[in-house]
Order: sequence, then C-alpha cells, then structure tokens
Amino acid sequence: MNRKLSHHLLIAFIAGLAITFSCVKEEYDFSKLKKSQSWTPELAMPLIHSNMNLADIIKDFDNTHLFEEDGDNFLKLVYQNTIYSKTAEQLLQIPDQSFPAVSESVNIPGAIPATDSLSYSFSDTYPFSGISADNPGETLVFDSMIVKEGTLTINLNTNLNYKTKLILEVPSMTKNGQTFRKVVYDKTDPTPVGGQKTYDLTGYKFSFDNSGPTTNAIDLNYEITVYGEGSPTYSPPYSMGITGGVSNIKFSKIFGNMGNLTFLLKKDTVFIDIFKNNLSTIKLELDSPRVKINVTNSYGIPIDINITNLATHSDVNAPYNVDVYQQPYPVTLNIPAPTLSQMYSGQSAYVGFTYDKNNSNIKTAVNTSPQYMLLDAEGASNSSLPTNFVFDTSRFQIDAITELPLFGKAWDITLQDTIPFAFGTTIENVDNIIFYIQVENGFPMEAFMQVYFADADYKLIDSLILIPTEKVIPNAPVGNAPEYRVIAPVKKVTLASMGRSRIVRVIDCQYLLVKAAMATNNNGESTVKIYSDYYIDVKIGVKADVSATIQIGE
Amino acid sequence: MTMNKKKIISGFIGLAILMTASRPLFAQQDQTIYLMRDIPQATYSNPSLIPECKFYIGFPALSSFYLGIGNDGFTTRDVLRYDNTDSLTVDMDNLSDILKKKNNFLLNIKEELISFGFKVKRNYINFSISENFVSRLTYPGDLFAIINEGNASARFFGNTAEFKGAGFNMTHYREFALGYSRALSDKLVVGARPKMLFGMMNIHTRRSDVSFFTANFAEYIETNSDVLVNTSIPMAASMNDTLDPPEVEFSEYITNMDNKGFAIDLGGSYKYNDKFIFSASLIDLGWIHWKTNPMNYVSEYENANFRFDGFEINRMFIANDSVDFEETLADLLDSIQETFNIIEKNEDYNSPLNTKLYLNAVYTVNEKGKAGALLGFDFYNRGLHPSLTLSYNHRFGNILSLTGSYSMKNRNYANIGFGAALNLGPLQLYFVTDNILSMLIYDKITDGGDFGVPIPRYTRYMNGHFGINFIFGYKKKDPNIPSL
Repeated sequence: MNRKLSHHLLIAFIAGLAITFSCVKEEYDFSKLKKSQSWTPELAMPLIHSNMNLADIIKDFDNTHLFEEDGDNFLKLVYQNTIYSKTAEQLLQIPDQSFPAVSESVNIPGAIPATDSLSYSFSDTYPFSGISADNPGETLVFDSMIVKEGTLTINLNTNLNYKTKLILEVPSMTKNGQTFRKVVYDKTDPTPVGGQKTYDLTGYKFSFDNSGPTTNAIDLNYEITVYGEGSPTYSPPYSMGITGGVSNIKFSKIFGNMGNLTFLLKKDTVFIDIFKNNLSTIKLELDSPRVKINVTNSYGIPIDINITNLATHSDVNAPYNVDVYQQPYPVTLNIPAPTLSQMYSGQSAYVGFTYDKNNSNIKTAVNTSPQYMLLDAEGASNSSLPTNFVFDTSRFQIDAITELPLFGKAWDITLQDTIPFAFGTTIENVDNIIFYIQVENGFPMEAFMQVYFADADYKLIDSLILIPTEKVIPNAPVGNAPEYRVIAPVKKVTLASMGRSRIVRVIDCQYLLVKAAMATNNNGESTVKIYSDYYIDVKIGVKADVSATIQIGE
Repeated sequence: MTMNKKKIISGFIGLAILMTASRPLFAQQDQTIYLMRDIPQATYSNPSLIPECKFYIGFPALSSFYLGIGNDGFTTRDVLRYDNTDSLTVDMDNLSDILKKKNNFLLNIKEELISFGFKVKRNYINFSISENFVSRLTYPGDLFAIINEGNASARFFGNTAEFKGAGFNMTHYREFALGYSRALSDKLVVGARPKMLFGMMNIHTRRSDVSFFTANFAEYIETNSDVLVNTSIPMAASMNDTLDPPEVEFSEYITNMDNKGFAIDLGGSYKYNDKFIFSASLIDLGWIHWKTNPMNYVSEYENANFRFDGFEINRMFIANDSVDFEETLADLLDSIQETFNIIEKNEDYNSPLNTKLYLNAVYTVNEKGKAGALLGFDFYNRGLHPSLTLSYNHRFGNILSLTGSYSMKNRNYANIGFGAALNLGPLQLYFVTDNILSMLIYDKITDGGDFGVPIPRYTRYMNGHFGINFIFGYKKKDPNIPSL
C-alpha cells in the first residue's frame, strides 16, 4: 500500500468513525415536562430559647423587692417594709399664729409744741404654740427653738396726725446675742396712715417662758413716740391698732420637755409578692424564715414600742391566718434617746428584735405561703428625761423585714402561661413534626411539663407531650449538708412528635398553654438550698417533614 | 524501557492519581493544540514555541475562533428523566447527590481579529489582536441540596451547608499581544508575550464566604456571610439609584480604553535529547484595572455572623405578660438584615486574569509522529485546578497534520480530543477540540417541535477552535531553530 493510499484510508476511517458515532442518544421534549413535581424537604429551625438564672426568674415574679445573697451566693428573699418613719420636722409643726391684737388709746393732752415730743410704751404677752402631727391635741412645752426660716409680720393702723415712731422689742427672740428690736413705724408725714412691716426670722432663737401660767410665753414690748414738729391740728382722741404674728416657721432645733408624745403606728401590711399569682398554691417547708423588727431613733427623746400582734395571711392555703406567737408577749422595745453630741454627729439609737424558728412559730406561719404579713404596734415617748430635744432632721423609724432564706423543700409549684401562637397555613403541607425539647437544668428542682394547643376560645385541642409522667426537666443532684449545692447541671432532650392526623387537629391552634409542675428534688422530699448562680436553659427546636407540590411554569 | 522512561511514566501516573482527587479545570485554551506546531496559534499555549513556517498572517477575523462551554456539575441525563407516564421530570434528588461542593458553568470565547508572525533567523516575532470573553458561574452543590432536601436532612442536620466560593465572574476585554521568542541554543528556546489589555465589562466575585449551619436537635441555626462583588458594567445602574440605567452607545462601549490592564505569557522549551523535549509556560499572568462605572457590593460587616437560638421567652410565666411573636419576628428579621447588609461603594479595583501553568513533555516517536503529555494548572477562585492531556500527533506530509488526545478534566475521564490542520498551499485550515465525543454523541432538548438544542450526553465540557491562516516558507526543519 503506498503512502497516499494509506492517508486516504486513514481519513476515510476517521470520517466513518464520526458518522458512526454521531447520533442523538436521547431527546428531552420539554413540552412533556411534568407541570407539578413533588418536593419533600426536611426542615428544621429553633423555636424557643429560654436561658434564665435565678436572679432573672425572681425578678420576673417580684421586681419590687430584693434578693440578697451571701458570699457563697446563697440567696434569701427579703421583703422590707417601713412601718413608721417621720422626721421631727414632719412630726412637730409650728402653725402660723397671731399676736394678741392691740388697740391702744394714745393720750395727748394738748397740741405738742414743734420742738417737743411725747413717749408712750406698753407690753403684751402671747402663748407660742407647736403641735404634734400624730396627736394635734397634745400640749408641747418648749424651752427654746432655733428658727430655720420664718416671718414676723406687724400691721399698724392709727389716726395720729403727728410724726410718730413705733418700736417693737421681743426680748425672748435673739440673734447673734442681739434682741429683736425693730422700728416698725416711723411716720414723718403728719397725715394719719397705717402700714405693715415683715421681718425675716431666720437664725433667731426663741426662748420661751414657762414659769407662769402661759405655756411657751413670749413678751412683746411696744414703744410709741409722738413728735410736735409740723404743728398739726390737734384733734383727739388718738388711737393706735397693732396686729401681727409669725408664719411659715421652720425650726432647726427644739429643746423642751416633749415626754408625752404618742406615735401613730397604724396597723401595717407587708405584701409578699412571690406568693401571689402563680405561686399562691406552692407548698413550702422553708427551714429558717424570720421577721426582723428594726427601730432607729435620732430624736432626743426615749421611745417605747409595743408590738401587739404579728400574723400571716394566705388567701389560698389553710389555715389562712396564722398568729405569730412569741414569749414574752407583747414584744416591748425601749429605744433610748441619743445624746446631744451623738445627734450632732448624726448618730441614732437602734433596737431590733427578730422572730425566728427558735422563739416563735414563724416557720409554721410562713409555710402557708402567705401573701400578707400583718403587724400591730404602739409607740410613745418616754417621759423619764426632764429635758428633750429634736433636730429638724431627727427621725424615728420602724422597719419590718421578712427574710426567707431559700433553704428547704417545695412542691406543687404550678406554673402556667399562655402564649399566642398560630401555625396558620405553614403546617398544611407538613406530614410529621418532631419537637426537640432540650433542657440543661442547674436547679435542684424537677418538673413535669405539658404544652397544650388551644383554639381561639381557649378550648384544648391536643397536647404536645404524649407521656405526661415523663420528667421533661430532671433535677440536678445536690451535694451534702450544710451547703446542699448542685453538683452539676443535668441535660435532657425530650422528643415529641406529631403525625399528620394530629397536625390536622392543631391547625386551628391560637394559643399554647404551657404548664409546668415543679418540685425540689425527689418530688419535694429533699432539702435543697438555692444559690444565685443556678440556671436553666431550655431550647425547643422543631423538625418538619414537608410534602409539597411545586407547580412548574405557572 | 530505560530508567528515565520509567521515571517519566511513573510521574505521569502519579499526576493522573492527583487529577482524580483534584478539582476540575475549565481551560480557556484547548490543550490538544499544544502538540500542533504547524498551527501558529499553538504558540498561545507556550510563547517559546516557534511555528514551522517562516511567516504567517491570519485571515482577518477568521484566524482563530475559540469557543468553550462547560458545566462540570451535571449533564442533562443526570437531571432529566421520563417517568412511567412518559412525562419529563426533573430529578432533583439525583442532582443533589451528584453535585460537588463547587460546580462551574463556563462560557469562554476568544475571537482573533488580526494576527501575524514571522521568523528572523533564530527569532520569532508575532502580533495579535483579539476579543476575549471569559465567564464562570460557580454554584455550590449544597445550595441545590439544601433547597431540595431541607436543612434537616441527614446531610445537613448537625452539619454546615457551604456556599463558599460561589459567585459569578465575567470579563470582556481586548488583547493586544506582541510575542517574541528566541532560540538561545540548539537546545533551549525562550519566549515572552506581553499583552496590553483593555477591559470592556467585568463582574468579579472577589469574596463570597457564605455558610449555613443547623445544629443537632434544631438547637440553633447559624449563618455567616462575607461578600465582595466588584462590577464594571458601563450600562449598569447603581442599586442606590432610582434613575434608569445610563444609556451607553455600542460604539462607546467597544472603544472604551479606560480599563487598562497588562498581562504576560512566558515560556521555555528544552530539548533534552533527540527524543525528549520538555517545556513549561505561564499564560495570562496579569490583571485589569477597572475604572468605568465601578461598583463594589460588599458586606457591611466583614465575616458577619448570625445565630438564631429560637425566640427568646425568658419572661414566660410572668403574670400579666405575654410573648409578642410578631414583634419578636420583626426584630429578628431586622437583625438579620442589618447583619448581612450589603453596601455599595464606587471604588476602582483590579481583577486578575485566570493564570495558567503548563508543563509539557514531548516524545518524538519517529519523524512523523510525536507523543506528548501536558499537565495544566489553572489558577482561579484562589485554588489550583490541574488537568492532564496525553496526545499523539501525526503528520501526513506537509498537507495534513492530525492529533488525537485524551484528557482527564472536568471530573470527566472520557475526553477524547481531536485536531486537524490542513495546508493547501499557503492556506491553512485547522480545527481542534479537546472533546470530539461531545460533538458526536449528544442529547437534544426540544420544545416538542422543530426547535432543538444539542447537549453533550456524556461530557461536561466541549470546546472547539478553528481558524484560517496564510502560511509561507513552511519548513519542517529550520536550521536556525532547534528541532523542538
């Protein structure tokens, strides 16, 4: 075979090969494309996440009171209520008061020569008064008073047609060693007129005279001088009318004998918010609840307090009302008066008393989960000291502090909440749903939980968890006494699935009713302590098998 | 077999193994042409190659036309099925299964407008002007899979769906290339081909790092996003612009010289002995600086991350309180939008060319036949994408040169290539493809009527390269040039 022929044969072979293999293997006719195709994905998404430490949970139940924790983060719930608190300024009030009105005839025997004058003087006494806000009928006897602010007002009216001068002197009112002496009227014009003068009393010391029959007496001395200059027409009879008083008096200090004060201690109620609402039915055995009565006094007056009754009340749990007994009865607290030097340095006298499981039945009372703590008390000043004193800032205060250390047992803690929730049309194409309920629990508490699906009328349609006896939230184990601390959090995943038939049932769901029944470890049989670093983390995720039809070309 | 031969064959077997484990390649150059030195355009794969003619000039606008189309993710028969009712269905399940992490759809066109070259003693000088259109859509297999199967399927429940590297890259540019090569000795030839580039239009996905994670038990879902897409499209409107896109005349578009770039091809060939020649080349090492209507779409927060643990209901069981899901959902959507917000900038930018590295070995079987192996590496998407082509070239006198090749590429191992150059006097006609099967065996998509589009049945890539040259002074052996 020559070379040329071989070349031709090769080309022919390649061409033949191309023709042989060149072919359409399959024809895809898009006019036959199926108009609907099924789509069956498995979709998952997290639904709910809740991470709560104890502080958060407690705040949710009670945002008006405080939780206190010690150095080990052990928690106690503290409800503090002030039963009585008044400063001396609030208790002792100086009302606006008037001097006795003066209507004095001014006897001028004849026309006064131009270079001559006639002087005339007279005095008056008036009883200065103060009142107790708690008992306005009480007579308050003052030795002296330092005025913080206030006004003295003098009004004068006369028909004297001579030049006239009126001086008021109050010997018991001094400021910087100077007696109050003021020219309250100095008329250079012989025309008869009246007038008013006011004086700032800030810084004056009032010294009261209680030696006579008048309480808190103050002497007022008037001096009148009439001048003949100008030679007016003599037209007697002449007279002078004087009125006046003090107003808006605020004191900074009062000294005297105030040993007969009574304090209006009304019956007081402490609301224990945590036992309201959802937790009202909780069963408790708190180990060491206590109620502290703290009394502070910075009046310069000894005060005696009698606590006549302490009781609890539960709207839900029998016996509903529990009187807290304590021996001896009643509880008498004698609060001494601080000394003057202590008062100047801002110190107070303090007396306290604590109702606890060792001296009372407070434990029994608190374990009814009471919503209210009721307190009755009486108080009065002690007249054992001849002289008393108060500053305007002196305060007498009684606090009742209910402490509930979270140490003990609890059961029948039922929590329930309703959440608006609608599946809508989102589950119409769902064949199966699996809910993954993941819990990481750091509390020494266990819980059974159920989620109910309810329609618009709150009628229950179905429930999520098929085995109601399954502990969705297992308790974290605790260590030994006395700490009873959780050793480690526990984790659990609970699966709850719903097939197509149940899904159809809950399509009309409008609300989720979440209900949890909780107890401390071993269904409330074990004693636990609650620390602030405990937490619970709940996550609910959902996985859905979707079966949908996709329309192509529409 | 000599020791050297054993080493070479062992090396290629090793590379073949590497190929099977590596990512796909979409060459912008046909690899079968590499061995066809009688075609002047073969020098585009290695500027150190010197054609056998003394002078050539390309037929204006017809000297070289290259078209490459590929989709390495799937073929038609992977996704289209007839069911038992003779209805055509889309097999999304199979599509989900066969797609890899990253899949590419590619369209490359290179049209040479002018070209010529000539030899002067031991030197070869050539010049060409060409229009280039390079595009690649990289689509993540996980995207199809997660849409089809959902995020709770066995594949994704507790695992991450990765969309990293997804994006679209497209460039239209004009290339002015001036090549020079010189035989330094009887054994060594070196060459370089600097190119001045003028960009017309570009989309460059510089960064796309997106992922979606679904934790076990649907505990949480988490998504990350970090995106930077640069574009220079003269007729594109800003996303912040409510006005109509700017009108750009075609003449204005085609004569735009504002987006300048530079690239270079480098190559070297070494004649080891009378039988073996080794060569290496680096092609399209360069970039274009884009200034015309630049727009940068970038994630406001780099490496933005969003995790959803479910609706927060820490206030459950509170008296007189309730959870407002609508409000919570609105807040959630706001947070997502804010986290993944894309902002637009208008800054000039550079886009790189897809650089290629070729390593070639040629074995001279006899005076008419040569066998070669070409190992190629494409650099794109910040990755190295190898391919391997084995070819044999046979000359039938000075008239006909035929080449057959076999390539491993595009996740496909049935790539039979073919090349032919026919010299009719000074007129040279040539045609080269790396996958002749794609043209021979194909499926057809029809609309039920006469209209039909052929789609290669077995192969995921097809290319064709043809042209017409006028060649003069054809010498099979030039005393000035080493017989490479």
